[in-house]
Formats: sequence, C-alpha cells, structure tokens
Amino acid sequence: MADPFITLGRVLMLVLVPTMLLFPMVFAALVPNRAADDSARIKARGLLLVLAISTAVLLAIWLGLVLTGARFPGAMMIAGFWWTWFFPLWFLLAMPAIVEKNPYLGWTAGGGSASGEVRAASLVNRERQNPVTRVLWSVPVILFVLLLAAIAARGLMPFGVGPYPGDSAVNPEAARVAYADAERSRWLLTLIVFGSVFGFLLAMLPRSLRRTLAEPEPMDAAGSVELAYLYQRQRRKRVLGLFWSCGTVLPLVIGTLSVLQVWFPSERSIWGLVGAIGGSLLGLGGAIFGTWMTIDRAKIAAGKARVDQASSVPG
Amino acid sequence: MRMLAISLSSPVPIHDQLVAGLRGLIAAGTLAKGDELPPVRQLAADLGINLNTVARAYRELTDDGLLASVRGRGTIVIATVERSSGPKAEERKRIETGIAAAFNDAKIAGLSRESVESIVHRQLDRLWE
Repeated sequence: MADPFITLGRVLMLVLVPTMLLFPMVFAALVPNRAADDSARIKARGLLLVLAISTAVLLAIWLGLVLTGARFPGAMMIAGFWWTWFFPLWFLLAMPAIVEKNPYLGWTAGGGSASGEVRAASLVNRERQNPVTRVLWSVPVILFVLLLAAIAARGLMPFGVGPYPGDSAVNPEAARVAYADAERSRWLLTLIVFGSVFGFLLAMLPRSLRRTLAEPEPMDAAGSVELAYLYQRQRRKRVLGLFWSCGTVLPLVIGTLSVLQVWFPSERSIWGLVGAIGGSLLGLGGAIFGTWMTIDRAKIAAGKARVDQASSVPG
Repeated sequence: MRMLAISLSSPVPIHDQLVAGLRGLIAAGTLAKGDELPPVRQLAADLGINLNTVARAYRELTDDGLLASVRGRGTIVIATVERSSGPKAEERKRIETGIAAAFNDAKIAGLSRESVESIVHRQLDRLWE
C-alpha cells in the first residue's frame, strides 16, 4: 500500500504547481490598466504576451512530465520541483508588466497616496535612510551559503546506504542501486532548486527594498515634522520586515527542511509535512504583518488629513 | 526639512512648477552643491504625478547645468549660488531676456507699476536678504 503522505504530496503537487505557474499571468492580467503613457501600455502588452507564452510552454512541459511520470520516476520528480518556475515568471515578467500597467499598485493600501490640489514632497533621498546596513546584509548571505554548503556536503557521502523501501526479496542489489540513484537525483535537484531559487530571491531583495523605500509619503505643504517621523517609523518596520522575512526566515525554514530531506531521506514524508505546516505559518505571519502595516498606513493617512484640514482653516 | 510643493489647480503646467520649484530652492540656497535629490520614482510617487514629468524636469535642470547624474549617488545639485567670478555674459543675457519677458507679461496682464515693484521687492528679499 502506498505511503499516504506520498499520495497526499502527489495530489498537492498536481494542484499547487499549475496554480503557482498560472498565478503571475492571472494576477498581471487582472491589474487595472493605469499605464503612464502609450509606450508603457505597449511595453506592458508585450511583457504580458511573453508571460502568457512562457506560462503555456511551462504548463505543457509540466503536463508532459506528469504523464510520463508513471514510466520514468525522474520525470515525476522534476515535475514536483516545477513550481520553482514561479520565481522567474513573477519577478522577470509579471512584476515589470504590473509596474508598466500600474506603477503605484499596492501603494495605496490603507490610503496614503498623494491627493488634493496642493501636493508636497520631502526632497530627502530615502534610499540613504535604508535601515538595512552592509553589515546586516552579511546575515542572509552567510545563511544562504551555509545552507547551500550543508545540502552540497551530502554529495560527498555515499547514497543508498540507509534503510530503503525497495523490493529486497527479489533482487536486493538492483533495488539498492535504483534507490541510490533516486536519492542522488533528489539531492541534486534539491541543491539546484535551493541554490537557484534563494540565490535569485537574494539577488532580487535589494531591488524590492528600494521599491519599498520609494512608496509614496505625501507631505503637508508646511512639512510637518511629526508626519515625517510617522512615515520614517513605518518605513523602517516595512523594510526590515521584508528583509528579515524574505532574506532570513524563509530561506532558513526551507533550507533547514531541504538539509533534513537530503541527509535523512527515509523521513522525507515527515519533513514534507513539517514544511507544509511551516510554510502555512510563514504565510499567516506575512498576512498578519501586511494587515498591521495597512492599518498603520491608514492611521498616518488620517493624521495627514487632519494636518491638511488644520492648515486649510483660515485664521 | 527641504520641501517641494506643486498645485494641481494652477494654470502653470506641473513640469514647469517642478522646474521653477527646484530652481527656486537652489537660488535660495536651500539646495546646495552636492545635495542629493530623491529618485524620480520616489518624488513622482510622493507627489502622485507621472514618472516622466519628474524625469523631464530633472533632465531639463541637468541640461541647464544645475543638476547632474552621478553613479551611485543618483541626481545631485551641482550649481551653487556663491560664485566668485559672477555669471558669464551669455548667462547674464539669458537672465535679462527672462526678466524682460516676465515684465512684458506683467504689463500685458494689466499689473500696476506698484504691484510689479512689490513683486520684485518680494523676490529680491527672498533671495538677497
């Protein structure tokens, strides 16, 4: 009888992989079109077309891998990791298309975008107030290198020496070799996926932080010091939240589970379950943080409205 | 805090308001040589205006020799109000033409001599204390 965890994992894979591949295209297509000019509109349309074609090609290949998976177990294994294409689809195609279509999408959450007849801005370059220092950057970089090294180190040890679920009664040596091959393939795939996905995320993080620093902070015409302080405090929380969650916590959780999977493969179904729970908790934490920031932003917007109202009252 | 304000209800185009506002801050010494300006995306987001409008204003001031793009620092102010040699002849001519055009506009708009004098004094007081 098949391991229920493995069956559950297969079912989840069949649902999650196409969902993740389709998500960037669907999201980018649904973003309201508020392109700055015709050239931005044309560029957005081009990027969306490339995104649609790339998504269709990736889905077709994935389907091919799933259908041939019964005969070639390696194909099914690759199909299970196919979700990692989400990152290039999202960061390289969907996000640029979204920025062209609607440069300020998401920035108005909880209010706070510039409005009214008279608009004012501080001339301070906020990139110079980035709370993420060079020293702080060493934490995610070292963590990434350590986790990658821990996964890579497994390759120095022999594969297929532990207990394996092979049919040892019929041909024990053939079963052991097949299991060792599968274990080696899984290790190599984990190494490539972790290295490329989190290497890519780490490379994209400075860009994401810069974008967060450039979120609108409309000021009152008099340049209220209190308002500037509230923006600064909220910006700091937002930037550090993004830095620690995407640069440290996420790679730490996924990396640790990847290390456990390659070093203790016989417990792989348990690590999968722990990963699913850990991933859900991370997602929940992200949602709570996002809601907190939105409420915070709304409070600042209300404060600005009060300052604007007070300055417009004659006398 | 260094601030830049624009009015959407003004008949003056936003681009011209940006250029005039930044010129005014440089002339008043609020923006000094070496000061960094915010990135185009940040200023456009804060003012809720098109990115291209800000980019065009920065470009115009760069062409006029007031700003410069420096790798690793973004857009910085390179003009200074304190010059030992004074303006060049062509710069002086350009300024005189601009002032003459403004006076012509004032006359056509029907402003009295007293009103123009009061505007001139206000501007002189703003920049030359």
